[in-house]
Amino acid sequence: MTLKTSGKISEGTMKKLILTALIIFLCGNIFSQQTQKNQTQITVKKAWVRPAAKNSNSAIYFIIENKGPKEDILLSVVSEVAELVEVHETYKKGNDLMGMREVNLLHVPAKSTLEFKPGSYHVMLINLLKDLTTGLSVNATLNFKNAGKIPFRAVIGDSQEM
Amino acid sequence: MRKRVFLLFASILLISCKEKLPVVEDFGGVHYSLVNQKNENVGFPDFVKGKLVVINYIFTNCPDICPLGTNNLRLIQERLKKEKINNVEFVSLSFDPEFDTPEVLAKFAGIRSLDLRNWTFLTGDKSVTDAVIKKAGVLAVVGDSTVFKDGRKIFYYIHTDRIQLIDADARIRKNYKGSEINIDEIINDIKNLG
Ligand SMILES: [Cu+2]
Repeated sequence: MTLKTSGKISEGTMKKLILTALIIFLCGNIFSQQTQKNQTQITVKKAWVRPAAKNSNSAIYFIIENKGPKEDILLSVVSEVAELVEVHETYKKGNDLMGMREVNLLHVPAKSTLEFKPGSYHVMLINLLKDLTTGLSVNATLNFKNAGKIPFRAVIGDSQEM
Repeated sequence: MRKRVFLLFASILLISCKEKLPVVEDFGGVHYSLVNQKNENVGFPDFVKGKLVVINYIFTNCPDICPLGTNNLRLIQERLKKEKINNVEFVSLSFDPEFDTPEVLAKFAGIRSLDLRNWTFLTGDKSVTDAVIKKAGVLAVVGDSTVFKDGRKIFYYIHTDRIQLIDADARIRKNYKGSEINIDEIINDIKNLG
């Protein structure tokens, strides 16, 4: 009987302990996420994406701003609107020839901005899984070496003014 | 007498103005059998003869430079509408006809809500589109490509970034940079040729 009671008490205490631990863990987790966010000095601004039909390709443009004291490296970009997502660069060849190539590990220096713009860097959306219709938007996430995941939304239109 | 001299002078000025764009290349004596975005057979440049033509050369898998040039055609078309200039046709010719079927071109135009009343997208046999771009002085060679997991492959062309102005006799009169064209410049040239 006594044993049983003490067993019950310890079971209750156990539950409280677990609950407390859980709260502490969750709070700690939120706190650490907040500090992580505060440490992230990378922002994405003025994001837009070209209208394009399903099964074709498109490009996302934006400005990356690195306010931090350290350079960061763009490792990859993720978006669910296309089969493949790559960082590309349009380049000039000779007088008026234009080509396009994939870019790996794009460096964003400390206290600088890097613009993805027509005729230059773009996030290439290859084989769109749906129509990108003007006025709607697309979600994507930049994945940085230090800053981690930076999600953003790009408006579909023919320029950033849209 | 003074009036006559003035008229002579004015007409010389006008003629020299109109002739100031040299002939870059002549499509006049040639005929290419192509297909438009509605899958109709089209003879180029016959179907636009008698009109000025603003043409660009594209492949729809191009996400950056070709949409820029195409958007510039749209801006030129809008300016001409505003200025009530009606004698101009627009043409976008694909140099990647194996991928750019009429259906693909129709979708490319449709998703951008382009006004196709005086704008035609052209595709056809690769040998024919190759002949057109060669005559136009446009280069398009396969550069990079993307291979999907299932083995499908799409090609990206290294190509001339170009818009051209063709006169009513199917002669190319000027080359412009497709992605960076000065809209005022081509509008002026159109007025000069019109
Ligand atoms: Cu690209």
